Amino acid sequence: MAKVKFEDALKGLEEIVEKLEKGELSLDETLSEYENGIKLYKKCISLLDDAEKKIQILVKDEKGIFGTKDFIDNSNNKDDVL
Amino acid sequence: MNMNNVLPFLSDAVKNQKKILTVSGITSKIRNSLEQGFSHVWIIGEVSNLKKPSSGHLYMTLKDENSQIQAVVFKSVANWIKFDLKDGMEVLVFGSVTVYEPRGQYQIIIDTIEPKGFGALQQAFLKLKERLGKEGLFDPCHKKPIPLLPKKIAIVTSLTGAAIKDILNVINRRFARVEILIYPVRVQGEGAAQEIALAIEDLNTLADIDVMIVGRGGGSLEDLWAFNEEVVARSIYASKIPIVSAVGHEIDVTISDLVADKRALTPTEAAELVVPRYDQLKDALSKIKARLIQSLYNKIKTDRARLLRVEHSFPFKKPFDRIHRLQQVLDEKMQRLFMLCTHTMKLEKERLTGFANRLESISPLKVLKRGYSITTTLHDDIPLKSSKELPFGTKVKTRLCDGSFVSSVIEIAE
Repeated sequence: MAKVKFEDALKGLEEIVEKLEKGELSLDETLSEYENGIKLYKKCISLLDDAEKKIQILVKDEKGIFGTKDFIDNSNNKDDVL
Repeated sequence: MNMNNVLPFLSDAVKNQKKILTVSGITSKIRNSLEQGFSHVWIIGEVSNLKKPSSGHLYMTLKDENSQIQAVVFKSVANWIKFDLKDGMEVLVFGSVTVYEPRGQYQIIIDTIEPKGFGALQQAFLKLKERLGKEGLFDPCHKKPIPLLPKKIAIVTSLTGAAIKDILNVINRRFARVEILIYPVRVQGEGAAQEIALAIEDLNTLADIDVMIVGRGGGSLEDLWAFNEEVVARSIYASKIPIVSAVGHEIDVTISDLVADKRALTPTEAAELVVPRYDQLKDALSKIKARLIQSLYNKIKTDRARLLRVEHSFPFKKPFDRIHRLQQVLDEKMQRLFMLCTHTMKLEKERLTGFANRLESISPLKVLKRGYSITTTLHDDIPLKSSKELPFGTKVKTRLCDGSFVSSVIEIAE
Protein backbone atom coordinates (compact mmCIF):
# COMPACT_ATOMS: atom_id res chain seq x y z
CA MET A 1 0.00 0.00 0.00
CA ALA A 2 1.41 3.35 -0.98
CA LYS A 3 2.12 5.55 2.00
CA VAL A 4 0.16 8.75 1.67
CA LYS A 5 1.90 11.68 3.24
CA PHE A 6 -0.15 13.90 5.48
CA GLU A 7 0.89 17.09 3.74
CA ASP A 8 0.04 15.65 0.35
CA ALA A 9 -3.44 14.73 1.50
CA LEU A 10 -3.83 18.12 3.17
CA LYS A 11 -2.58 19.93 0.09
CA GLY A 12 -4.98 17.97 -2.10
CA LEU A 13 -7.78 18.88 0.25
CA GLU A 14 -6.85 22.56 0.21
CA GLU A 15 -6.70 22.58 -3.58
CA ILE A 16 -10.15 21.04 -3.80
CA VAL A 17 -11.57 23.58 -1.37
CA GLU A 18 -10.02 26.45 -3.29
CA LYS A 19 -11.35 25.07 -6.56
CA LEU A 20 -14.80 24.68 -5.06
CA GLU A 21 -14.73 28.12 -3.50
CA LYS A 22 -14.20 29.69 -6.90
CA GLY A 23 -17.55 28.19 -7.80
CA GLU A 24 -16.67 27.68 -11.45
CA LEU A 25 -17.35 23.98 -11.56
CA SER A 26 -20.60 22.42 -12.66
CA LEU A 27 -22.83 20.92 -10.03
CA ASP A 28 -21.76 17.39 -11.02
CA GLU A 29 -18.10 18.30 -10.83
CA THR A 30 -18.70 20.08 -7.55
CA LEU A 31 -20.27 16.99 -6.09
CA SER A 32 -17.53 14.66 -7.22
CA GLU A 33 -14.82 17.04 -6.01
CA TYR A 34 -16.65 17.34 -2.73
CA GLU A 35 -16.59 13.57 -2.39
CA ASN A 36 -12.84 13.53 -3.10
CA GLY A 37 -12.37 16.23 -0.51
CA ILE A 38 -14.20 14.26 2.14
CA LYS A 39 -12.08 11.21 1.31
CA LEU A 40 -8.87 13.22 1.77
CA TYR A 41 -10.20 14.71 4.98
CA LYS A 42 -10.83 11.24 6.36
CA LYS A 43 -7.34 10.19 5.27
CA CYS A 44 -5.81 13.11 7.15
CA ILE A 45 -7.76 12.29 10.28
CA SER A 46 -6.75 8.65 10.15
CA LEU A 47 -3.08 9.63 9.69
CA LEU A 48 -3.37 11.94 12.68
CA ASP A 49 -4.86 9.26 14.86
CA ASP A 50 -2.53 6.52 13.70
CA ALA A 51 0.55 7.11 15.84
CA GLU A 52 1.95 6.21 19.20
CA LYS A 53 4.65 7.61 21.41
CA LYS A 54 7.90 5.68 21.58
CA ILE A 55 11.34 6.91 22.59
CA GLN A 56 14.33 4.77 21.74
CA ILE A 57 18.08 5.01 21.49
CA LEU A 58 19.86 3.78 18.40
CA VAL A 59 22.74 1.47 19.21
CA LYS A 60 25.31 0.13 16.81
CA ASP A 61 27.17 -3.08 17.56
CA GLU A 62 30.79 -3.90 16.65
CA LYS A 63 29.68 -5.18 13.26
CA GLY A 64 27.93 -1.92 12.57
CA ILE A 65 24.46 -3.42 12.83
CA PHE A 66 21.82 -1.13 14.26
CA GLY A 67 19.58 -1.97 17.16
CA THR A 68 17.45 0.01 19.56
CA LYS A 69 16.89 0.14 23.27
CA ASP A 70 14.25 2.02 25.21
CA PHE A 71 15.10 5.43 26.50
CA ILE A 72 14.21 6.01 30.13
CA ASP A 73 12.70 9.43 30.21
CA ASN A 74 13.41 11.17 33.50
CA SER A 75 12.40 14.59 32.37
CA ASN A 76 8.78 14.58 33.54
CA ASN A 77 9.24 17.56 35.76
CA LYS A 78 6.28 19.34 37.19
CA ASP A 79 7.40 22.74 35.98
CA ASP A 80 7.23 21.73 32.33
CA VAL A 81 3.67 22.85 31.97
CA LEU A 82 3.41 25.45 29.29
CA MET B 1 81.91 67.37 17.71
CA ASN B 2 85.41 68.22 18.69
CA MET B 3 87.92 65.40 18.30
CA ASN B 4 89.73 66.63 21.39
CA ASN B 5 86.78 65.78 23.54
CA VAL B 6 86.50 62.30 22.11
CA LEU B 7 90.03 61.11 22.32
CA PRO B 8 90.34 60.93 26.10
CA PHE B 9 87.17 58.86 26.11
CA LEU B 10 88.65 56.32 23.72
CA SER B 11 91.87 56.03 25.61
CA ASP B 12 89.91 55.37 28.79
CA ALA B 13 88.16 52.58 27.04
CA VAL B 14 91.37 51.10 25.76
CA LYS B 15 92.81 51.25 29.27
CA ASN B 16 89.84 49.40 30.71
CA GLN B 17 89.84 46.50 28.22
CA LYS B 18 87.11 44.47 29.98
CA LYS B 19 84.39 46.87 28.91
CA ILE B 20 85.05 46.44 25.17
CA LEU B 21 82.57 44.03 23.53
CA THR B 22 82.52 42.38 20.14
CA VAL B 23 79.48 42.87 17.91
CA SER B 24 78.38 39.37 18.69
CA GLY B 25 78.94 39.99 22.35
CA ILE B 26 76.80 43.06 22.49
CA THR B 27 74.20 41.45 20.31
CA SER B 28 74.06 38.48 22.59
CA LYS B 29 73.78 40.76 25.64
CA ILE B 30 70.98 42.70 23.99
CA ARG B 31 69.25 39.46 23.10
CA ASN B 32 69.40 38.19 26.67
CA SER B 33 68.15 41.43 27.99
CA LEU B 34 65.28 41.60 25.53
CA GLU B 35 64.31 37.98 26.01
CA GLN B 36 64.17 38.40 29.74
CA GLY B 37 62.35 41.68 29.64
CA PHE B 38 59.86 40.98 26.83
CA SER B 39 58.91 37.32 26.95
CA HIS B 40 55.19 36.54 26.66
CA VAL B 41 53.83 39.87 25.55
CA TRP B 42 50.64 40.79 23.74
CA ILE B 43 51.08 43.16 20.84
CA ILE B 44 48.50 44.71 18.59
CA GLY B 45 49.45 45.97 15.16
CA GLU B 46 48.91 45.94 11.46
CA VAL B 47 50.38 43.24 9.24
CA SER B 48 52.57 44.45 6.40
CA ASN B 49 55.17 43.03 4.11
CA LEU B 50 53.87 39.50 4.75
CA LYS B 51 56.05 36.78 3.23
CA LYS B 52 55.15 33.11 2.94
CA PRO B 53 58.24 31.26 1.76
CA SER B 54 58.21 27.53 1.00
CA SER B 55 59.73 26.73 4.38
CA GLY B 56 56.26 27.25 5.84
CA HIS B 57 57.38 29.97 8.24
CA LEU B 58 55.72 33.35 7.95
CA TYR B 59 57.57 36.65 8.07
CA MET B 60 55.94 40.02 8.44
CA THR B 61 56.29 43.48 9.84
CA LEU B 62 53.87 44.64 12.48
CA LYS B 63 53.40 48.35 12.53
CA ASP B 64 51.35 51.26 13.77
CA GLU B 65 51.52 54.94 12.86
CA ASN B 66 54.90 55.52 14.45
CA SER B 67 56.80 52.26 14.78
CA GLN B 68 57.32 48.83 13.39
CA ILE B 69 58.61 45.48 14.57
CA GLN B 70 59.65 42.39 12.66
CA ALA B 71 57.67 39.26 13.42
CA VAL B 72 58.03 35.58 12.63
CA VAL B 73 55.49 32.78 12.80
CA PHE B 74 57.16 29.41 12.69
CA LYS B 75 55.63 26.65 10.61
CA SER B 76 54.40 24.66 13.64
CA VAL B 77 52.27 27.64 14.64
CA ALA B 78 51.47 28.81 11.11
CA ASN B 79 49.79 25.48 10.35
CA TRP B 80 47.17 26.20 12.97
CA ILE B 81 46.15 29.58 11.71
CA LYS B 82 42.49 29.23 10.75
CA PHE B 83 42.02 32.57 9.08
CA ASP B 84 43.39 34.14 5.98
CA LEU B 85 46.35 36.27 7.11
CA LYS B 86 46.77 39.25 4.81
CA ASP B 87 48.67 42.50 4.61
CA GLY B 88 46.79 45.37 6.15
CA MET B 89 45.04 43.17 8.69
CA GLU B 90 44.99 44.30 12.30
CA VAL B 91 46.13 41.43 14.47
CA LEU B 92 46.57 40.61 18.09
CA VAL B 93 49.67 38.51 18.68
CA PHE B 94 51.16 36.79 21.67
CA GLY B 95 54.83 35.90 21.73
CA SER B 96 58.32 36.70 22.87
CA VAL B 97 60.77 39.31 21.68
CA THR B 98 64.15 38.05 20.57
CA VAL B 99 67.05 39.18 18.41
CA TYR B 100 67.95 37.81 15.03
CA GLU B 101 71.65 37.99 15.57
CA PRO B 102 72.93 37.80 11.94
CA ARG B 103 71.20 41.09 11.31
CA GLY B 104 71.21 42.54 14.76
CA GLN B 105 67.50 42.90 14.37
CA TYR B 106 65.04 42.44 17.15
CA GLN B 107 61.83 40.65 16.32
CA ILE B 108 58.93 38.92 17.91
CA ILE B 109 58.40 35.18 17.65
CA ILE B 110 54.66 34.75 17.50
CA ASP B 111 52.99 31.89 19.38
CA THR B 112 49.40 32.95 18.81
CA ILE B 113 47.94 35.26 16.24
CA GLU B 114 44.32 36.38 15.94
CA PRO B 115 42.65 38.99 13.83
CA LYS B 116 41.87 42.00 15.98
CA GLY B 117 38.22 42.05 17.03
CA PHE B 118 37.67 38.51 15.78
CA GLY B 119 38.46 35.28 17.41
CA ALA B 120 40.41 33.04 15.11
CA LEU B 121 37.54 30.59 15.22
CA GLN B 122 35.16 33.26 14.09
CA GLN B 123 37.47 34.05 11.25
CA ALA B 124 37.62 30.38 10.32
CA PHE B 125 33.87 30.29 10.49
CA LEU B 126 33.60 33.18 8.06
CA LYS B 127 36.11 31.58 5.74
CA LEU B 128 34.23 28.27 5.59
CA LYS B 129 30.93 30.08 5.35
CA GLU B 130 32.13 32.02 2.36
CA ARG B 131 33.50 28.95 0.64
CA LEU B 132 30.47 26.74 1.21
CA GLY B 133 28.20 29.63 0.37
CA LYS B 134 29.87 30.00 -3.00
CA GLU B 135 29.46 26.27 -3.55
CA GLY B 136 25.75 26.70 -3.00
CA LEU B 137 25.35 24.62 0.16
CA PHE B 138 23.14 27.26 1.73
CA ASP B 139 20.90 27.84 -1.28
CA PRO B 140 17.22 27.84 -0.41
CA CYS B 141 16.47 25.65 -3.43
CA HIS B 142 18.23 22.74 -1.69
CA LYS B 143 16.14 23.05 1.43
CA LYS B 144 13.68 20.25 1.94
CA PRO B 145 10.33 20.92 3.60
CA ILE B 146 9.87 19.75 7.16
CA PRO B 147 7.04 17.20 7.24
CA LEU B 148 3.88 18.33 9.00
CA LEU B 149 3.15 14.99 10.57
CA PRO B 150 6.32 12.97 11.06
CA LYS B 151 5.84 9.53 12.54
CA LYS B 152 9.46 9.02 13.38
CA ILE B 153 11.92 11.72 14.43
CA ALA B 154 15.63 11.07 14.84
CA ILE B 155 17.69 13.20 17.19
CA VAL B 156 21.45 13.47 16.83
CA THR B 157 22.81 14.89 20.06
CA SER B 158 24.44 14.00 23.33
CA LEU B 159 22.43 11.84 25.72
CA THR B 160 23.67 13.88 28.66
CA GLY B 161 23.22 17.36 27.22
CA ALA B 162 20.55 19.96 27.70
CA ALA B 163 19.24 19.60 24.16
CA ILE B 164 17.75 16.15 24.59
CA LYS B 165 15.99 17.23 27.79
CA ASP B 166 14.52 20.28 26.11
CA ILE B 167 13.30 18.26 23.15
CA LEU B 168 11.73 15.57 25.31
CA ASN B 169 10.03 18.27 27.38
CA VAL B 170 8.29 19.54 24.28
CA ILE B 171 7.23 16.03 23.31
CA ASN B 172 5.76 15.42 26.75
CA ARG B 173 4.09 18.79 26.85
CA ARG B 174 2.34 18.17 23.56
CA PHE B 175 1.38 14.62 24.43
CA ALA B 176 2.94 13.81 21.12
CA ARG B 177 2.30 10.38 19.74
CA VAL B 178 5.48 10.19 17.81
CA GLU B 179 8.42 7.83 17.58
CA ILE B 180 11.73 9.26 18.68
CA LEU B 181 15.03 7.65 17.82
CA ILE B 182 18.03 9.13 19.59
CA TYR B 183 21.42 8.69 17.98
CA PRO B 184 23.84 9.55 20.79
CA VAL B 185 26.99 11.39 19.75
CA ARG B 186 29.58 13.56 21.39
CA VAL B 187 28.82 17.16 20.56
CA GLN B 188 32.11 18.75 21.48
CA GLY B 189 35.79 17.95 21.56
CA GLU B 190 38.08 16.12 19.24
CA GLY B 191 36.23 13.80 16.84
CA ALA B 192 32.78 15.12 17.71
CA ALA B 193 32.28 16.51 14.21
CA GLN B 194 33.10 13.16 12.62
CA GLU B 195 30.66 11.41 14.97
CA ILE B 196 27.88 13.82 14.11
CA ALA B 197 28.54 13.45 10.40
CA LEU B 198 28.55 9.65 10.64
CA ALA B 199 25.30 9.71 12.61
CA ILE B 200 23.61 11.70 9.87
CA GLU B 201 24.88 9.29 7.24
CA ASP B 202 23.83 6.24 9.29
CA LEU B 203 20.33 7.60 9.85
CA ASN B 204 20.00 8.09 6.13
CA THR B 205 20.40 4.35 5.65
CA LEU B 206 17.32 3.72 7.80
CA ALA B 207 14.14 3.78 5.80
CA ASP B 208 11.56 5.16 8.14
CA ILE B 209 12.95 8.41 9.53
CA ASP B 210 10.80 11.38 8.54
CA VAL B 211 12.88 14.19 9.97
CA MET B 212 16.02 14.73 12.02
CA ILE B 213 17.06 17.20 14.68
CA VAL B 214 20.81 17.77 14.90
CA GLY B 215 22.11 19.96 17.67
CA ARG B 216 23.20 20.68 21.19
CA GLY B 217 22.61 23.15 23.99
CA GLY B 218 24.44 26.40 24.49
CA GLY B 219 28.16 26.79 25.02
CA SER B 220 31.18 28.78 24.04
CA LEU B 221 32.17 29.13 20.41
CA GLU B 222 34.75 26.40 21.00
CA ASP B 223 32.07 24.15 22.48
CA LEU B 224 29.87 24.64 19.45
CA TRP B 225 32.76 24.23 17.06
CA ALA B 226 31.87 20.76 15.81
CA PHE B 227 28.82 22.30 14.16
CA ASN B 228 31.08 24.63 12.22
CA GLU B 229 33.15 21.84 10.75
CA GLU B 230 33.00 21.13 7.07
CA VAL B 231 32.43 17.39 7.52
CA VAL B 232 29.18 18.10 9.40
CA ALA B 233 28.12 20.68 6.82
CA ARG B 234 28.68 18.16 4.00
CA SER B 235 26.75 15.38 5.69
CA ILE B 236 23.82 17.69 6.37
CA TYR B 237 23.87 18.80 2.77
CA ALA B 238 23.96 15.20 1.53
CA SER B 239 21.14 14.03 3.80
CA LYS B 240 17.96 12.85 2.09
CA ILE B 241 16.09 13.26 5.33
CA PRO B 242 15.12 16.85 6.18
CA ILE B 243 17.27 18.23 8.99
CA VAL B 244 16.44 20.84 11.58
CA SER B 245 19.56 22.19 13.21
CA ALA B 246 19.45 23.51 16.72
CA VAL B 247 22.78 24.62 18.05
CA GLY B 248 23.20 26.64 21.21
CA HIS B 249 21.21 29.79 21.72
CA GLU B 250 19.57 32.30 19.48
CA ILE B 251 22.75 34.34 18.97
CA ASP B 252 24.84 31.40 17.84
CA VAL B 253 24.68 30.81 14.13
CA THR B 254 26.71 27.85 12.97
CA ILE B 255 27.55 26.48 9.55
CA SER B 256 25.21 23.58 10.35
CA ASP B 257 22.39 26.07 10.85
CA LEU B 258 23.07 27.52 7.43
CA VAL B 259 23.18 24.20 5.59
CA ALA B 260 20.27 22.61 7.43
CA ASP B 261 16.83 22.58 5.85
CA LYS B 262 15.57 24.60 8.78
CA ARG B 263 17.35 26.44 11.54
CA ALA B 264 15.85 26.39 14.99
CA LEU B 265 17.07 28.98 17.43
CA THR B 266 17.23 26.46 20.26
CA PRO B 267 16.67 22.72 20.72
CA THR B 268 13.30 23.57 22.28
CA GLU B 269 12.30 25.43 19.16
CA ALA B 270 13.54 22.56 17.01
CA ALA B 271 11.21 20.21 18.83
CA GLU B 272 8.38 22.70 18.53
CA LEU B 273 8.99 22.87 14.79
CA VAL B 274 9.10 19.15 14.31
CA VAL B 275 6.75 17.61 16.85
CA PRO B 276 3.26 17.76 15.42
CA ARG B 277 0.61 19.92 17.07
CA TYR B 278 -2.22 17.43 16.88
CA ASP B 279 -4.74 19.90 18.24
CA GLN B 280 -3.76 22.54 15.70
CA LEU B 281 -3.75 20.10 12.81
CA LYS B 282 -7.18 18.82 13.80
CA ASP B 283 -8.37 22.37 14.12
CA ALA B 284 -7.06 23.22 10.69
CA LEU B 285 -8.72 20.11 9.29
CA SER B 286 -12.09 20.96 10.81
CA LYS B 287 -11.86 24.43 9.35
CA ILE B 288 -11.05 23.13 5.93
CA LYS B 289 -13.86 20.61 6.17
CA ALA B 290 -16.25 23.42 7.08
CA ARG B 291 -15.07 25.32 4.02
CA LEU B 292 -15.59 22.23 1.90
CA ILE B 293 -19.17 21.84 3.08
CA GLN B 294 -19.84 25.56 2.82
CA SER B 295 -18.59 25.66 -0.75
CA LEU B 296 -20.90 22.84 -1.75
CA TYR B 297 -23.80 24.57 -0.01
CA ASN B 298 -22.92 27.84 -1.73
CA LYS B 299 -22.79 26.10 -5.07
CA ILE B 300 -26.25 24.70 -4.61
CA LYS B 301 -27.53 28.05 -3.37
CA THR B 302 -26.11 30.03 -6.25
CA ASP B 303 -27.22 27.46 -8.78
CA ARG B 304 -30.73 27.58 -7.42
CA ALA B 305 -30.71 31.36 -7.47
CA ARG B 306 -29.47 31.30 -11.03
CA LEU B 307 -32.17 28.90 -12.02
CA LEU B 308 -34.82 31.13 -10.49
CA ARG B 309 -33.35 34.14 -12.18
CA VAL B 310 -33.40 32.43 -15.54
CA GLU B 311 -36.90 31.17 -14.98
CA HIS B 312 -38.14 34.68 -14.29
CA SER B 313 -36.19 36.24 -17.08
CA PHE B 314 -38.02 37.69 -20.10
CA PRO B 315 -36.96 35.11 -22.71
CA PHE B 316 -38.17 32.39 -20.42
CA LYS B 317 -41.47 34.01 -19.66
CA LYS B 318 -42.29 34.64 -23.34
CA PRO B 319 -42.24 31.01 -24.46
CA PHE B 320 -44.59 30.17 -21.61
CA ASP B 321 -46.93 32.87 -22.79
CA ARG B 322 -46.89 31.38 -26.21
CA ILE B 323 -47.59 28.00 -24.77
CA HIS B 324 -50.45 29.38 -22.76
CA ARG B 325 -51.89 31.03 -25.89
CA LEU B 326 -51.56 27.86 -27.86
CA GLN B 327 -53.16 26.00 -25.02
CA GLN B 328 -56.14 28.34 -25.22
CA VAL B 329 -56.46 27.78 -28.94
CA LEU B 330 -56.20 24.11 -28.36
CA ASP B 331 -58.88 24.26 -25.72
CA GLU B 332 -61.23 26.07 -28.07
CA LYS B 333 -60.63 23.58 -30.84
CA MET B 334 -61.19 20.74 -28.45
CA GLN B 335 -64.49 22.23 -27.42
CA ARG B 336 -65.60 22.65 -31.01
CA LEU B 337 -64.53 19.16 -31.79
CA PHE B 338 -66.52 17.89 -28.85
CA MET B 339 -69.65 19.76 -29.96
CA LEU B 340 -69.26 18.53 -33.47
CA CYS B 341 -69.02 15.01 -32.22
CA THR B 342 -72.16 15.22 -30.10
CA HIS B 343 -74.07 16.71 -33.00
CA THR B 344 -72.99 13.98 -35.39
CA MET B 345 -73.84 11.34 -32.86
CA LYS B 346 -77.34 12.77 -32.43
CA LEU B 347 -77.93 12.70 -36.17
CA GLU B 348 -76.70 9.15 -36.41
CA LYS B 349 -78.90 8.13 -33.55
CA GLU B 350 -81.96 9.57 -35.26
CA ARG B 351 -81.08 7.81 -38.48
CA LEU B 352 -80.67 4.60 -36.57
CA THR B 353 -84.12 4.98 -34.98
CA GLY B 354 -85.63 5.55 -38.43
CA PHE B 355 -84.01 2.36 -39.65
CA ALA B 356 -85.29 0.50 -36.63
CA ASN B 357 -88.86 1.67 -37.26
CA ARG B 358 -88.70 0.67 -40.88
CA LEU B 359 -87.23 -2.64 -39.93
CA GLU B 360 -90.01 -3.23 -37.46
CA SER B 361 -92.71 -2.45 -40.01
CA ILE B 362 -91.53 -5.22 -42.25
CA SER B 363 -90.86 -7.65 -39.41
CA PRO B 364 -92.78 -11.01 -39.55
CA LEU B 365 -93.52 -10.46 -35.89
CA LYS B 366 -96.06 -7.84 -36.92
CA VAL B 367 -97.90 -10.46 -39.05
CA LEU B 368 -97.87 -12.82 -36.09
CA LYS B 369 -99.58 -10.19 -33.98
CA ARG B 370 -102.46 -10.38 -36.32
CA GLY B 371 -102.97 -14.13 -35.47
CA TYR B 372 -100.69 -15.78 -37.95
CA SER B 373 -98.09 -18.27 -36.89
CA ILE B 374 -95.01 -19.89 -38.34
CA THR B 375 -94.35 -23.55 -38.01
CA THR B 376 -90.89 -24.95 -38.42
CA THR B 377 -89.32 -28.29 -37.92
CA LEU B 378 -88.07 -28.55 -34.35
CA HIS B 379 -84.47 -29.18 -35.17
CA ASP B 380 -83.56 -27.17 -38.20
CA ASP B 381 -85.88 -24.19 -37.90
CA ILE B 382 -86.98 -24.36 -41.52
CA PRO B 383 -90.41 -22.83 -42.04
CA LEU B 384 -92.93 -25.42 -43.28
CA LYS B 385 -94.62 -24.45 -46.53
CA SER B 386 -96.21 -27.80 -47.61
CA SER B 387 -98.08 -30.47 -45.67
CA LYS B 388 -96.50 -33.08 -47.88
CA GLU B 389 -93.16 -32.52 -46.39
CA LEU B 390 -94.27 -33.84 -43.04
CA PRO B 391 -93.89 -37.52 -42.11
CA PHE B 392 -96.29 -38.74 -39.48
CA GLY B 393 -95.28 -38.04 -35.88
CA THR B 394 -92.72 -35.33 -36.75
CA LYS B 395 -92.16 -32.83 -33.98
CA VAL B 396 -92.69 -29.23 -35.10
CA LYS B 397 -92.33 -25.86 -33.47
CA THR B 398 -94.98 -23.22 -33.89
CA ARG B 399 -94.10 -19.59 -33.24
CA LEU B 400 -96.78 -17.09 -32.22
CA CYS B 401 -96.39 -13.39 -31.59
CA ASP B 402 -95.65 -13.83 -27.93
CA GLY B 403 -94.09 -17.29 -27.75
CA SER B 404 -93.99 -20.77 -29.25
CA PHE B 405 -95.04 -24.34 -28.62
CA VAL B 406 -93.98 -27.77 -29.84
CA SER B 407 -96.42 -30.35 -31.21
CA SER B 408 -96.45 -33.68 -33.02
CA VAL B 409 -98.07 -34.34 -36.40
CA ILE B 410 -100.92 -36.78 -35.73
CA GLU B 411 -102.98 -36.32 -38.90
CA ILE B 412 -102.25 -34.92 -42.33
CA ALA B 413 -105.10 -33.43 -44.40
CA GLU B 414 -104.95 -32.60 -48.07
